[in-house]
Amino acid sequence: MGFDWIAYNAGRIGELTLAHLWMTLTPTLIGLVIALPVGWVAYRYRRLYPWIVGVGGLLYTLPSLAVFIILPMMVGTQILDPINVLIALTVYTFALLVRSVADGLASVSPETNQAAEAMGYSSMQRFVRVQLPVATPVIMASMRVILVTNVSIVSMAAVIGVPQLGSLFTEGFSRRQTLPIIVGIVVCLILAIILDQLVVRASKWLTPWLPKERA
Amino acid sequence: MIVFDNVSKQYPDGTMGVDGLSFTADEGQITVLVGPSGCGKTTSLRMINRLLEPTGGSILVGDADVMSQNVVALRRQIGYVIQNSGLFPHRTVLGNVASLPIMLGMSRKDARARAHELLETVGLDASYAKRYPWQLSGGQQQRVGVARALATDPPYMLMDEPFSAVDPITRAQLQQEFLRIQSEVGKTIVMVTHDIDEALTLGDRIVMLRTGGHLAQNATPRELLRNPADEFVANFVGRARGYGALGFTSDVQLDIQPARSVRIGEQTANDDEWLVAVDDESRPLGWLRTDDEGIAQHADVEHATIITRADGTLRDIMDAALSSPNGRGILVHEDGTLRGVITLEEVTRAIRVSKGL
Ligand SMILES: Nc1ncnc2c1ncn2[C@@H]1O[C@H](COP(=O)(O)OP(=O)(O)OP(=O)(O)O)[C@@H](O)[C@H]1O
Ligand SMILES: [Mg+2]
Repeated sequence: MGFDWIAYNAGRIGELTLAHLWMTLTPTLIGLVIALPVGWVAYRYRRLYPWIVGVGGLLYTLPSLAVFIILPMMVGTQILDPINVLIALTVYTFALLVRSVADGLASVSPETNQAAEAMGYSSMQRFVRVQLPVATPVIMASMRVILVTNVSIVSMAAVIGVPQLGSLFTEGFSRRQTLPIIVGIVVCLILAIILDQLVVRASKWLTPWLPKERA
Repeated sequence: MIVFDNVSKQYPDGTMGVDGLSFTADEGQITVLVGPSGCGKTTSLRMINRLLEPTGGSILVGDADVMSQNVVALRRQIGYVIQNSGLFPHRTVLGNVASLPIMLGMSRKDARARAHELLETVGLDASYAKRYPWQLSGGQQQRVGVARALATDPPYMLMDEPFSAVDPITRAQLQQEFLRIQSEVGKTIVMVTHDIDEALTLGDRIVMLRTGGHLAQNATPRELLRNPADEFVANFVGRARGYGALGFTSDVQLDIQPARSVRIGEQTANDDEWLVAVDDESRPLGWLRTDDEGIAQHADVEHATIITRADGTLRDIMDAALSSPNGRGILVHEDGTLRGVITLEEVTRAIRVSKGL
């Protein structure tokens, strides 16, 4: 067993990688899309901020394995349904991001906000044209953490039998083979690094105004 | 025209920001709101474009009460400039100036062309157009702020301490350029400052407030200096009443004497006399005493001398005489060419005449 195992299983590893990628990206994007308006509400209505951020923090502390198991009971899905993983990761993403969005939006200086308002920008126009762009670096920094975390949480879903790279771990364990485990770890790592770098690039591209060298 | 009619603003916590304020800011003029910290200047200003709403009285912009106008339409007629510029940090200088016109549907190309023109108007070199706000000095940021406020050519401008966050030299420069711009654009401007000298320099009319948001005096700068309404106004105007009061053009006829001048590089008679050194276009450079060889040289010019216009204020003319090494001030025509010299005695005579002494 060795390279021929990898060669023989290349197709399957590829499939698992794609499944892993899909299960990482989908909830991250959905979480982001939900966190943007909710984060805006937390920013706009300061009294709601502690509640929204508090609930977010609470959700984030839930152990992922417990969520995978409890979620089917709550939403009535099958325990092996990948939808459970998607929902759980969406919740995590949202929980982490909502605070960054609210804080990032709040990082616009009062003078800039006032100037925009006085120029006749509606609060929606200020959100889209001023606050969101200025919040981008903060949001992107959180996105990096979230994506890498999600890559590793997804692999945990193998325990409840949803196929992705984590399946290589469970298989390796049950067959007492180290190679599938190593392959799983390495591919997970590469995936995490690539996603992380993509976010870094995207962030740089979206924020040309930031100083190039940040001390 | 902007009219305050018995306007009051009580904040939710009970503080009276402004109390029964009435004044008129005339078309095409600079009206300056001045007074000590906390007297309600910013509050007054922000009620004009409805960043705040009055709790009593009414404010007219044009002919209509601001509260009856569509708030966005109202704001689009009013440029707004604040102390720390409030530029968009994620937009270039050009982007900041062009952002509102683009949002309102002007083509990118036209908006950029207009922004370039405005940067030139406010005296910012085209090489700054691609920079971001953090790459500019405070004074440069204020220039961009003014350009951005002018971008849609609004008839009104509100300015809250626009020049107070920069050093005195830059401030004086910005003030002079601002007056030049205003002479070109002729906006109806309401400006806030706590600096009486700035108010006297820039204001066509000064509305002085006292603590509690009450009107203390509404007058032209000259009236304010000559006839302060009460002790509070007199104290606030302070030093400016003396020396500062000379800062207006006077109608006193001055006895200006012809000056002996010499061009740089020319040979002069070696009679140890003070001469006015001039350049090739007859513009004076300063006083000069010729050296042993009798050649007028740049290095010998007393550059500390202030040179001012013969039709300027008595204050400037006195500065010219006082800064001269020989008690005579150098005066120039409008085009900068040598007009003549004036003695310190003649300046003090003119001051006495202007004060009716
Ligand atoms: N949001 C607010 N709530 C309560 N009181 C306020 C509020 N904003 C301003 N005030 C009060 O209203 C008064 C006028 O404030 P304002 O900001 O108009 O003063 P100002 O003349 O602009 O002073 P400065 O020269 O210091 O800028 C002050 O007593 C201030 O404390
Ligand atoms: Mg103020």
